[in-house]
Amino acid sequence: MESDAHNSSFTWNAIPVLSLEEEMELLEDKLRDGPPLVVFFAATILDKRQTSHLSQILSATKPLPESLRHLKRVRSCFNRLDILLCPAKDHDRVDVVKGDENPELSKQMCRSNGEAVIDSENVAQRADLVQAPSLAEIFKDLADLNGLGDPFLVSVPSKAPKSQKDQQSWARYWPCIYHSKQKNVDTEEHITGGIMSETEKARIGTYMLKAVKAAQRSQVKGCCGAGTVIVDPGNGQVLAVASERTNETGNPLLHACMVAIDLVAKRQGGGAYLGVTGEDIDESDVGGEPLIGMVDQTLSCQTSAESVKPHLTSKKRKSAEESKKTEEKASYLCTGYDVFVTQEPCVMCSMALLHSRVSRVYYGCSRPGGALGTSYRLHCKNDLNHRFVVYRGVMEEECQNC
Amino acid sequence: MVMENIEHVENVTEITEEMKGWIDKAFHKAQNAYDNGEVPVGCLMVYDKQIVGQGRNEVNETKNATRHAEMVAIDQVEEWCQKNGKESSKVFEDTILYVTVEPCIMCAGALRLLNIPLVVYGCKNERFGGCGSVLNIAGDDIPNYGSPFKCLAGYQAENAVEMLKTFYKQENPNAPRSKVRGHESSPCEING
Ligand SMILES: [Zn+2]
Ligand SMILES: [Zn+2]
Repeated sequence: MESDAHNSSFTWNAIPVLSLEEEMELLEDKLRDGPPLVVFFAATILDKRQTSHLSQILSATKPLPESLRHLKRVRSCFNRLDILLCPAKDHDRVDVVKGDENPELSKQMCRSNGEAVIDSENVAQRADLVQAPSLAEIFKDLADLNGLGDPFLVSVPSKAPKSQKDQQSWARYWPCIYHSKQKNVDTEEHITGGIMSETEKARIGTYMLKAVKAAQRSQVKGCCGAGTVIVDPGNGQVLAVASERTNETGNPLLHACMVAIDLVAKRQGGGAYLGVTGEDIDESDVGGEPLIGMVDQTLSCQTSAESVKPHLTSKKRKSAEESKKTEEKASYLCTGYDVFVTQEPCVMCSMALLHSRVSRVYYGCSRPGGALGTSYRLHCKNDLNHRFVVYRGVMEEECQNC
Repeated sequence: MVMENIEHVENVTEITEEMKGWIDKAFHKAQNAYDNGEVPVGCLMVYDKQIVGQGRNEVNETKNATRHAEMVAIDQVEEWCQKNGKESSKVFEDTILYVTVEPCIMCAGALRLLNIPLVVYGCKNERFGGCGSVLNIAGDDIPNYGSPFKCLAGYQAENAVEMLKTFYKQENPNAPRSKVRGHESSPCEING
């Protein structure tokens, strides 16, 4: 096994499939090495007892623009309090990093006054600006601004930090508020392309191996199709193992994902493909090696007749807490489930997974016409009612060869 | 007779009286879905001037989110072909789909894979439509993905919209409550 930069024992990497916007942002962030900036007028609060009074007045008269609500109004800097007044150019923001677009301003920005510079970066924390307007110029009709010093220019992050790490390092420009996204725990790692832990890779690999084996079996039957595994990540239970069944059935729509979705429906007491019941589930679990304690063999080996039983029967075996958790999720389609598929799903299958409200899809290799990255990115389309996380490249080589 | 049908499909530019008759029948299926607590979408597949498949939404009763009317009808066509000793791949190539609501992205993908040449539908599917509303799976150039198909839309559109609106005034009893309530756009969530 080759070892990559991170000394991984895996030859593959799970690569997040992002939306076009996220991809562009990531690229920009990488090139920029720091937050995008916007220039504001700020002033030092000379009389600290006026702080809450001043921030009230400013919030009312000069509220921060919607897109800049992540900025804290007041910062504490060397025992001094500074307060944001308003964007330097309300409708024409100046990006100080791209200073050469406005050499005059950037020169002024860099001629920082020693006292306020916190870091050695090229971006000034505070700049004396010859043309800095007076308070009276900024607040034409406000007399009640006693206790504020002269306005100065400051560069502040124009985007909300996406991680705590960003929040900490961006504070040297201006303190920001960071809201962690509660909904998707792995969103941050996903967006920033963070490195997946070895344990997580091992988990993913275990399930993908099952999908690869299913795909190989379908090849034996003369099919060229993919293999799909659906898993409840809450308890690690494999709910469906399916391979493409188009050749043997003569139905060109029986792609592995469609079959797997129906196998899950059957577990929940539903299902539609009468002739395609359970066969794959049985074979794969009987034939395959036991999988490192993650697969509930009893359940996976159910015969098709058993799997039609309401899933509640089997749940009684689990701890009360676990079953409650599972029940909430399992009760509606594939909500919360992980899907492992050897090849990038097509348009039909990708939309079927979306309709089924899966939470994550891991696939091996991309393919022409694929709808989770190649021809479309259905999983992150804003105008669809459900989004899910997608990783590609999982055991890519094995998936390519099966 | 089949040749006639192909020419017919290729040259057709507007909804004919005959087509209107088929759509009206698709609406009966939609009503049937409604009566059974399913999203009111219905469809017919017509080959050689006869109905070879028909369907309505069966998502709730099968607990399978892919059981849209079109998918149900497609399976019936397969059965019909088996019974009548026809090759289904040939039959689909000459079959017209009549459906009350624009097929979703998934169904549009399926229709391409089957090389269905023409789809006649009632109202647009703003949420999931795969024939131009959200994506144009019907017409896009997608490698290795069957053939693009033609669409004729608009007949009985108001009727189709009205049925969906009435349906969504009640809650979908099979969806988790929080999902239905919390979703601002649930009133027009079309599983067509
Ligand atoms: Zn597919
Ligand atoms: Zn559909």
